[in-house]
Amino acid sequence: MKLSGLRLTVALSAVLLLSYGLLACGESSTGGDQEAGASGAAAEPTHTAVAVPQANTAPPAATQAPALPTPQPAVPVQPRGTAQPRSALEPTPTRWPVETAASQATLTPAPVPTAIPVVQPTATPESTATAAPPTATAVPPTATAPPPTATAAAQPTATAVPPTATAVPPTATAVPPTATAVPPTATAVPPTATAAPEPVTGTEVGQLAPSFTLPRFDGGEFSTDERLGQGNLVIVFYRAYW
Amino acid sequence: MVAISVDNLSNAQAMARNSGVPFPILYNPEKDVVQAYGVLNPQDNNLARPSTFVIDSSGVIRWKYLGSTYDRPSPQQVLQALADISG
Repeated sequence: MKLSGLRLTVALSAVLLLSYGLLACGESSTGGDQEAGASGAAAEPTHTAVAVPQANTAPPAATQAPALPTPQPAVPVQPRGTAQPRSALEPTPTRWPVETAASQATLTPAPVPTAIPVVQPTATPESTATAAPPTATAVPPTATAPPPTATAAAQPTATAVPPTATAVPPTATAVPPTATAVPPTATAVPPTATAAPEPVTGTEVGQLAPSFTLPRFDGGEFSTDERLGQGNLVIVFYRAYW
Repeated sequence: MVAISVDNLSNAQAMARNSGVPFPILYNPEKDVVQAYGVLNPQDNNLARPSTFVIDSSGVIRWKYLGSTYDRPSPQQVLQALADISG
């Protein structure tokens, strides 16, 4: 019974030593290589435990030095008191990496969803862009609506223009008459030139003598109009027979 | 040359016979031509004033003489007026 109990204690102490070694490797971030030779394959987990032991502070650092020499002589008694808390410390390093992994996992997925939402908003712009086309398509109908009005207005105006165009020719034709009206005025000048010597009918010298036709005492008539052009004429008015 | 009065035909014939003038004597009892020439004298029984008009071949009056009752132009004045027109 005593031998088996000793073996158990030795085994436990060995386990504790291994755990100590692991802890020591974790604490000595810089000098971990020295302990790596003793710990062997346990060096790999030390990297993940590096951050955690620093938080755990001094106790492991103080135990580093005694950790390597103590395994064999101090196995029976001392490890029990310290073994339990150290065994309790073991799971913590295993927890830390897990937690960090989880935190990293939570951190890494975080950017991904943020990246996704970024994509989604871009997708929503597309949806808005697709929504815009309908509005754009809605505009064309309004644009098509004006054309009819434009065509309706253009047609009447187009039809209105020809009349104006037809109205212009009369004005153009009206010009020639004015041009033709000028010659008459030009022809009117000579008559006025000839009319200047033409005297007004009257009884004053220089005026046209009143024309008449009177009977002669020996029969027949005398007309001044018939006498004109045959020579000068002397008219004598006498008071009466006497 | 012609002579005109407001007499009737008989008086015109008497005038022609008594004066022996070679030119025609015209009569105008209606007095319209005498009035047209402005020689009707209402103050002398609406008889014609003794007047003489010299008219050229175009019908324009070139010389005239307006008398009262008994005055009249001389034959020289009338000849001179005719001479001025022909000259």
